[in-house]
Amino acid sequence: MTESTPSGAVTATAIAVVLGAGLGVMSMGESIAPAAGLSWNAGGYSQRNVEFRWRNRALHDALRKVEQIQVNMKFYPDPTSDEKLRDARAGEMYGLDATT
Amino acid sequence: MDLTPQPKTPAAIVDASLIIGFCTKEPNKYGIAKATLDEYDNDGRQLFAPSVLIGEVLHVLCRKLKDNSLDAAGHASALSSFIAIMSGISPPPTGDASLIPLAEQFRGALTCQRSNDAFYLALAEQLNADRKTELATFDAGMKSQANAYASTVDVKVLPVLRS
Repeated sequence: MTESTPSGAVTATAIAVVLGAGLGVMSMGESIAPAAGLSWNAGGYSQRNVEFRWRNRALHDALRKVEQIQVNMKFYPDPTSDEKLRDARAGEMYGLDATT
Repeated sequence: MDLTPQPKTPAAIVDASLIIGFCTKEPNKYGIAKATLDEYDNDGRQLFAPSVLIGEVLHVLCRKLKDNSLDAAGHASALSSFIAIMSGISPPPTGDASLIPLAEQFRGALTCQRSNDAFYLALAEQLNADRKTELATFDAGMKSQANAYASTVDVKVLPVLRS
């Protein structure tokens, strides 16, 4: 059927294929580079954009890890939690409070 | 290629009260703490904390274990959770020592007990210079301290649920 296809359409198809492949590579680079901690600075993607995505992933992954750890963890009420933190901030952790 | 400088990733600073409520699953704080962290995750914020957070959290975990607010299993889970979440929280970009002058300024005329808080505020002020930054805490005192000595710092005081 090639002989019945106008040459312009063939050219357009070829361009689309090349562009599609290019975008595919860029997309792959975008997803792989952050995971590997690498910079990607081509095709209009700035290094800062990649850093943005990579940093997001660090927090995202950390939160998912905590979810796994806490899946069977019960709740622990503690009415004196703020008091304990105040003690820590008051320097008790450095042994300055002789009462504990 | 677009060479226009792009704004830095927005930042958030989390304090020990938020991390403790989250890692030890305190019922009056856990939901709010988790929702706040999830929101930062969805917003693409970069999280930071000064090193004083580590000492504060470990101190409180130890105290909770000693007075049985946490059993051994709970303490282990809380500690693992703390280690995991810290992998998503960055240290001060220019180091803790660079915060000393500003922290001492922000402690102002308050008691020495506010010295640690002043490090959080100093980090927020430093990051605020080139990116949108907010500081999340359950400690309303930090907001008061910011109002008095670091008015440009955006402190988000999280509500504690009443049981």
